[in-house]
Amino acid sequence: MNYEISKRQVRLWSRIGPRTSFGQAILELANSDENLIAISADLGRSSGFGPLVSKHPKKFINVGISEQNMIGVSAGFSKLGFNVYATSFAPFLSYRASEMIRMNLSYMKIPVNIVGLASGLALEFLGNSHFGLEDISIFRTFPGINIFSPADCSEIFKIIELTSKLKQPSYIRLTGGVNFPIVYEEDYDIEFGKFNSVFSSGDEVHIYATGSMVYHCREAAKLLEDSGIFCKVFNVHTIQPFDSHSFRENCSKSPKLIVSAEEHFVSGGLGSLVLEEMHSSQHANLSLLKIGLPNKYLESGEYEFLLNKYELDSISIFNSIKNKLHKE
Amino acid sequence: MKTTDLIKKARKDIIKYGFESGGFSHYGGALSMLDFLCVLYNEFLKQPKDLSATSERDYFILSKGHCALGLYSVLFNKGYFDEDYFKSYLKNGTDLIAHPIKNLSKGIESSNGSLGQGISMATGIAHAILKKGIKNKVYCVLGDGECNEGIVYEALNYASHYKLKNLCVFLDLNGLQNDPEEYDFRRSYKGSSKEILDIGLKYTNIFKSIGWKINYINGHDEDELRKSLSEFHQKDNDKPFVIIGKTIKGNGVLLMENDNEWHHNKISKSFYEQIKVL
Repeated sequence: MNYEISKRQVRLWSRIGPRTSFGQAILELANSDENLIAISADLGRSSGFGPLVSKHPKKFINVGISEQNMIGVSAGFSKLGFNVYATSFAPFLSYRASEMIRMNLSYMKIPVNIVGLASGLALEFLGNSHFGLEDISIFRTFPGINIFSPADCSEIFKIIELTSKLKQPSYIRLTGGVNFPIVYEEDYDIEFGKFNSVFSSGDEVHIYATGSMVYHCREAAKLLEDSGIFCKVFNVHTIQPFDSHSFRENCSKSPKLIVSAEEHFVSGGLGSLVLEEMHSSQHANLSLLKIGLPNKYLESGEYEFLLNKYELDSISIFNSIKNKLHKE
Repeated sequence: MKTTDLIKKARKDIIKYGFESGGFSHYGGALSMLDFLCVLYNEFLKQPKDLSATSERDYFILSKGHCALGLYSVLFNKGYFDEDYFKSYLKNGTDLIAHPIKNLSKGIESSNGSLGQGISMATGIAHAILKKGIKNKVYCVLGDGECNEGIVYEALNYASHYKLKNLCVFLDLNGLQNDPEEYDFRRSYKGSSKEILDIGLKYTNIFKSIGWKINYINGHDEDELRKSLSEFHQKDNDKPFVIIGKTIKGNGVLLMENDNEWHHNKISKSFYEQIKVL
């Protein structure tokens, strides 16, 4: 794949947002991979596939508004050696096409990359029917399906490149909208099945964040540092398989507080995963703060309004962590 | 208000309240189903303004939920809620969002947005009404893009099998869905008259083969809509009924007609000034 992570490029990608960046990444892949097939359930436009359709029309298939059939179709293409990326909005993949994913990707282990567009609260006024509130939780239940969530637009390129070589059943969860904040301004190594440190001032608090929350947690960590609280922030770009080994090593430093952060229900996703890992690594005695959306259907509104309302912005995260520490 | 006037007013209000919200709406699809909705609500639908008052009444389900702005405009003009409530459309924290949220006291029967699920519930309501032995009717608007979803055929089969003669579907055949023609596996009405015939024939044949009664009409002809709805009410009707309405996405707003940019879009101030609403 031919792309460059530079200051100029990341600013451009941030402006256009995750879905248009994803479309660009798929175009780059299509330029070099003759076996690439991009499939969508009538959301080609919403996947940023315009440039792909212009340049490589034969590499895109619209299955129509038929998410369940899309999974079967994707599996069929994969069996003939195609490198498949199939897209829809997060709930229509995780819920509506769930059983087809279970049979084709998990049970039959057929390698297909499915992409959950605009997960979390990105779809604003389209409301709960379209919000991705539970997708990490659902995909965690499928044996053998990898779960990725890019922290910014440049990481989308890295994950597309990674998955194109990996050739395993994978779910890629896109969060955020246009002007998606920048975490990485230059190239870096991304390792499958590991998480990445994006901030380090000390070991009092270990923050495990994913997707859109990585940026907000890093900003919160800077504020915490100013308040004399020293943290590490980890970008969990690969949620499943989770790097239990590094997690155990981190815990052996006895942080006062472990924090999980996700634009997702607070139950069932990354937070629950971290809690399970604390127990299985014999660190259940450590304190955990799970940051995420409350387990209920939410209000609709502009993305920034919702992040603030549900305390997922940097300042709210800073306050939540500070308050939790003072209570302990 | 006469139905002809309701159609004009509701259409103006779609544009007015849509624009004033400052947000994105699915204008095209709201406008293509509007004539049917107005004839239905003005002349046929028998329900109290507060739907929670009783379950023994008529039902309307907007299965193509993203066209909620069209439904809101009709509900407003028929007195289900007031102007202040309509003005909360697309405001932060509002209940009036891009897809209907079930709110019986405001005339909204169900929460929709996930395509194909409305028609499924409609068949359940219709069957339950028959089992109760009451005479009420169930109406449902289905999109043609929506008919890509498999559950639609599950519902159509069920309705036919259980002879749900009290169920009337309006299939809004505007020939377009989200992705534009060049991404699409099926052409839009911008094509030849043969293509128009093909799509209409396809759905006529599907519904007929599954065991429904068909009326294939001009979805913007008030008289034809009225005639079809009257036929649905005839005593000898013994099958679920579909009005396949050939419609224009964005109908009645010249700058929007058949332009798929108006599937989901925002009206700018300058566009609002240019717009002519018929």
